[in-house]
Amino acid sequence: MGRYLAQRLVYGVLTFLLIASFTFFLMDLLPGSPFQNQEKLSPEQLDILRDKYNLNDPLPQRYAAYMVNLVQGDLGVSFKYDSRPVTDLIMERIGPSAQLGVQALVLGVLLGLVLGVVAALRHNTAVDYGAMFISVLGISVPSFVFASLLQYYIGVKWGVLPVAFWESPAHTILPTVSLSLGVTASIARFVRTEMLEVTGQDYVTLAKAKGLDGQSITWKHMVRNALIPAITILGPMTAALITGTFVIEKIFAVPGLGELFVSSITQNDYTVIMGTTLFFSAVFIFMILLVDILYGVVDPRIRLGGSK
Amino acid sequence: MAEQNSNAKAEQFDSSLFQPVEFNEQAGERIAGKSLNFWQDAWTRLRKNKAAILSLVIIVIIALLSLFGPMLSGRDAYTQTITQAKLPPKITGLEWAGFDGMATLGEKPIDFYETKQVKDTFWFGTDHLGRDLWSRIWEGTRISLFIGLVAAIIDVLVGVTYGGISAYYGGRVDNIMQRIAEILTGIPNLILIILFILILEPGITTIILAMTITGWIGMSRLVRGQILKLKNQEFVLAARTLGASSARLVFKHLIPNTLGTIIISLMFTIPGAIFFEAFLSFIGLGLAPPQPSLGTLINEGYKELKTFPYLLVIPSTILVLVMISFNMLADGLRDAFDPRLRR
Repeated sequence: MGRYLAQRLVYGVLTFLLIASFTFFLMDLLPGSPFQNQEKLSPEQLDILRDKYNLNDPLPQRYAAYMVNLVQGDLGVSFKYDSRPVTDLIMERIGPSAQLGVQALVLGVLLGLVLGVVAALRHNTAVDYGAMFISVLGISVPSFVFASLLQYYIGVKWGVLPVAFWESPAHTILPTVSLSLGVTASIARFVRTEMLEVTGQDYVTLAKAKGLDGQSITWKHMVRNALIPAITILGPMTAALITGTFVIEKIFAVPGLGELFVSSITQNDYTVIMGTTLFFSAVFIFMILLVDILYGVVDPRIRLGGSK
Repeated sequence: MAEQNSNAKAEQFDSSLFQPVEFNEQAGERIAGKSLNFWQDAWTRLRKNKAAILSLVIIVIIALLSLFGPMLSGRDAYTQTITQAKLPPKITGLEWAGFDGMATLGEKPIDFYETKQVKDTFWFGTDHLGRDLWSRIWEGTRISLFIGLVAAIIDVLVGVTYGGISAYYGGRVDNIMQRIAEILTGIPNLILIILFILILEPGITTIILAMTITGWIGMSRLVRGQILKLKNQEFVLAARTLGASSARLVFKHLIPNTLGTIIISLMFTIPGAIFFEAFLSFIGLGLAPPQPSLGTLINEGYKELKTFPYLLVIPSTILVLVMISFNMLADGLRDAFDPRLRR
C-alpha cells in the first residue's frame, strides 16, 4: 500500500510537471499578443513592456524561471488585471466555483441515487423506463443548452429566479441545477446497473431468507454495496463538472474560475491561462488519485497495485 | 399367476403387427433454427428494441436532411439578405404550432413578415444577417455529424492499433505503452483541446485533431482488455499451430472478435464528439464564421434569446435529437452485441 501510494504520487507529480512544460511551450506558440492596442505602441514602448514581463528572454531561460517559480507556488502576474499575482486571482475566484461544484455534486448525487434505486427496484416497469429516459435525456442534453433554456424560461419569461450574477443563495439555484443535470444522469444509470447486479447476490438472498424487511435490505445491504463502484465515476465526474463550469459560469455570469479561464483565453492573458490550466490539472490529478485510494479503502477486496 | 396371465395375453398379438422404431441419430441432431452469424444475431436482437430502431430511423432522417435539406428550401446557407434579417419561422399550414412568423417585441407579438414586407416564407426563419436558418441548420448538422464521425473513426483506428499492439505483444511493450497512456489520461483532455485549438487555425480539421489527441485512449483500453482476454484462447492457439502469421492472427482472429466492443464504443464516441464541438463553439473556440455548425448556431441563438428564442430552440432541438438518438442506438447495440450486459 505504502509503495503503491508513493508510486502513484510520483506519477501524479510527473504528469503535472509534464502538463506544466507542455502548456508553457504551447503558450509560446499562441498567436496574438497579451498587450491591448499593440498597434498603437511604438516598438520602443513594446520593448519596454516585453522587458517588464521578461518576454525578451530566450525561451529556455523563461521556462526555467517559470518552473522554479511554479515549484515555489508562484504563478507569475497577470497581464490584464493590473499585474496582480495569478495565485491571488485564482484564490479570489475559487469560492463561487467550488460552491457551485459542491452544490451540483450533492444535488446530482442525491437525485441520481433516488432515480437509480427506484428504477432498479421497479425494474422493467413504467417507472424504470421513465427514470432511464430522464437519464438518457440528461446525458444527451448539453449543459449549456439546458442552462440557456432554464435561464430563458425561469429567469426571463416567468421571472421566478434571478437571471444571472452571483449574489444571494437564490442566484445559485439555476446554475446549480444546470450543472447537476449531467451528474444526476450518470449517477442514476450507474446506480441502477449496480443495484441490478447486487440483487442477484447471495447475501441479498440470505438477508431475505433471514426475514429482514424490504427497506433494510434495500438500504443496508443493496444500496451500500451498489455505491462502492460509483466512486470510480467521481474522477470523470470532476472532469465533467470542470467542463460544465466553463459554460455555466459564462451563461450565468458567475465570477468563478471557469469564467476566468475562458476570458483569459480570449484576452491572451498567458500567465492566467497557464495558472488556471495548472490549477484544473492539479485538481483533476488529485481526484483521480483520491478515487483510486478511496476505492481500496472502501472495498478491501480490491488490493491496490497487485500487492498480495 | 398374474404373470402367466399377461404372458398369455401377449401371445395373442402377432409379432408382425409391430414394427421397430427406426431411430435416426441424424434427425435428433438436426438444428431447427436457421444458423445465424454474428451480425444476423445482433440484428435480430436489435430489431426487437423499439427505442433503438426509432433512434436509427431518426438518425437516418436527420442525415438525409443534412445532405438534401438546403436543396428543399432552395436557399443558400451563406447568402446574406439584410432586409430579411431576423424573420421568425413561418410554415404555411403550421401556423397553430408556433410557425406563424410572430415574435414578441416589447409587449405584444408582431408579425415580422408584415412589418418587413416579405412575401416568402422561411420554414425555420432567418438569422441576424438574413440567412435562411433552415439551410444553415442542415448545413450545420452536416458539419457537426461529419466532425463527430471522423473524430470517432480516427479514435477507433488509433485506439485499436495502439491497444492491439500493446496487448498482442504484451510484456515490456505493453508496460511502456500503458505507462504512456496512463500519463496521457492524467491530463484533463478539455484543457489540452482548448490549448490546441488556440494555437492552430480554428476550423474543422483543428477541432477533429484536438479531439482525437486524447480521445483514442479509452478505445485503446477497451481493445487491449479484449485482446488480452482473447489471445490465450484455444482458437488462437490453433491458428498459431497451423502457422498463421502475426498479422493474420490480429486481423483475422483477434480484431473481428472485438468488433462488437469497437462498434459500441464508436457509437458512444460520435455523440461525445458532436457535444464537444458544440461546447467549443459555444465558448467561442469552434468554427470560424460564416461556417455553421450546431454549436455555432446555438451560440448565435443564445445572444438573441430574449426576443428571438427560435434561433436557439431550433438548433438545440436538433442537437438534442441527434445526441439522444445516438445514445439510445448505442445502448441498443450494446444489448444486441452483448446480451450478457443486458439490463
